[in-house]
Amino acid sequence: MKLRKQNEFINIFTRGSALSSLFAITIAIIIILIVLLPMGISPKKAFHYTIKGCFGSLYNISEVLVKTTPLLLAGTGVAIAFRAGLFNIGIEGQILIGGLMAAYSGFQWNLPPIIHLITILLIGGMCGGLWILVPAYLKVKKGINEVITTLLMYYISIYLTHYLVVGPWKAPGLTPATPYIKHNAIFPLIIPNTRLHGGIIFAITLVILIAWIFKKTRMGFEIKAVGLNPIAAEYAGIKVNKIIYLSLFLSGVLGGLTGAVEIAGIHHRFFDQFSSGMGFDGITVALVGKNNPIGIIFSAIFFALIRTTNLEMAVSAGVPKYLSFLMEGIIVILVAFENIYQEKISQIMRRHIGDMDTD
Amino acid sequence: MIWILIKTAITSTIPIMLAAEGATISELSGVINIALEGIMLLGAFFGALSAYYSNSWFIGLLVSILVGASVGVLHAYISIDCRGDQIISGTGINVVAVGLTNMLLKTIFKHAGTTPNVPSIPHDLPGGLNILDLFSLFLPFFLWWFYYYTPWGLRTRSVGEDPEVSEIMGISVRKVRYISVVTSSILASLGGAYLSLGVVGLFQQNMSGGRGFLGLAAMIFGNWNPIGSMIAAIFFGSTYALQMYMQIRFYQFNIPPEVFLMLPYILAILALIGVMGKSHPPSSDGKPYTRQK
Repeated sequence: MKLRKQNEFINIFTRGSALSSLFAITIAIIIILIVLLPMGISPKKAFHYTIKGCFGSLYNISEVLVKTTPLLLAGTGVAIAFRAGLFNIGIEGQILIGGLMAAYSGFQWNLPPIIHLITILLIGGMCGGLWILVPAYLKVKKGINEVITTLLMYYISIYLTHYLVVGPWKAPGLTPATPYIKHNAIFPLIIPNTRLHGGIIFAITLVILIAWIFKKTRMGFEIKAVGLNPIAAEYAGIKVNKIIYLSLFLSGVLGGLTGAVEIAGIHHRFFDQFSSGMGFDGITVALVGKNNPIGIIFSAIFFALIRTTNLEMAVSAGVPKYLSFLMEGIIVILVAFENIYQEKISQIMRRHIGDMDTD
Repeated sequence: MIWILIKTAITSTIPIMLAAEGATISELSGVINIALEGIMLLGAFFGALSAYYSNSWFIGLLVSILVGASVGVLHAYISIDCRGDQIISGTGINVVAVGLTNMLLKTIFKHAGTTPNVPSIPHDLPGGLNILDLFSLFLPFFLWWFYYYTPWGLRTRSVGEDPEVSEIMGISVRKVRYISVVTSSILASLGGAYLSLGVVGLFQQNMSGGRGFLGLAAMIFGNWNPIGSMIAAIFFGSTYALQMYMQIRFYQFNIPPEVFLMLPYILAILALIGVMGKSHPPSSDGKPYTRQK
């Protein structure tokens, strides 16, 4: 049994999927280190910023986990759609809508402890799911690529949420933001005097739950079948249109939850563009994590480390905070043609550890 | 008043239309190019940057074309030679564009937000138009003639429909797709140059603001036809003029500008839901092609 486990682990590597992600990351890190040189940051210094920024104190470590939480949720959301062969590129829009509606139900209503928290998470998730139904409808009825329509919905969500926080739902004061949510709606802290809240446990539980759905249930199987070959799935008696609605809805729910958890755990109110591109980070997380739950957990932590390092460099050395975007973009471009080097890598790996594989 | 509205409609239409025509060109050959948004942003930024240093809008325009072409080659290489995922490649290019332009903007000009004023394309043609206006005016008609009445255009469309058969007929699928993707990217970068050098004479953070994606929507709405895409782009562009008119007309109600800024996107979605029939992209759109040996 133990041997089989070990072989499975080696198999992941010899098939090259995990290694090609590592390869993409390595190349991107090298490029970023070169970009940093003219800014007066040597690789050694960059490494120092990573250690200091991410592990310098208990607070810094907790901040990495704080940043991991939305990446886990958004990454899983994107991965669900990917599994069905769909691309929820506009997940940022669902995050904004989910976050806004969670904030609204958080400051508007008065509910008992815990129930209020659960309510705003449910509202946020549902609204994210409803927001993506328009692209789902257009996909099913008119055959329009969901990439375009989710992006159009994303731009609508930017202006809509902006309008609501500068207009009708604005709290008194100068900042364009909603009022603070009620105390009962706030995610409890795990470590006092940090920002680390229960959302990380919630997110990990959800990732495991969704992994279980994909591995053990009929629904998960049907989504995967549609993603592999929709025509064959249709012949096998799977209702493809239903699966498109379902998987996009679930993906949208995860997007909405990402926003809701950030509001309930970190910001406690909605302000303009609070999400700062975490939906697009989610796409990178899902791509690098190969839509696999364990992969997503690792890549979410990795990108949280990158974000934290970038922040540390921005504060200490004035490096623009858009560096992490650049890095993510490079990784995504490399992932786009991984089929080319994946084959090479797995050949090399098989040659070197192939004898272990045949034990 | 009417003249100002028409001018607003034209200046808002042109970047969307250039992206829409670019998207059409690329997809007719069978390659999806969602990198148009990022290429537009890069074209706008590097156009403004080089116009700032050379003090010449013409150099700016040339650099913008060059940047568009190089990013186009990258996307073509990944999509055609590596048979990679075209949408993921496009996404990556879009993310790099946001990261790179914002980073350089901050590093070079120290303050985020905008560049200083740069020389802009002179409006010295009759009717106060500039050369990009004139170019854009003729482009859709030229493309329509090209794709429906010339052997080269028909060959390109056959590559998008059925690359295997086209290859047997002696057409180089790879060459046709390369040319199409690079041309498509150049049009998007011209759209970007139009924004930074043609309209305001400076670069603003995230200046493309979804116009590339609106162009893709216009392409779908226009059913992958150059003239259809143009009409859809005019429709989306005119909403900007409508938005301006409404803001002036209903100023006493104090309606926030965001309500109007949403308009093009909401109308795009409504148009796709209501007016549009089932969409018919080229048969091999987005599918990598492996040459039979």
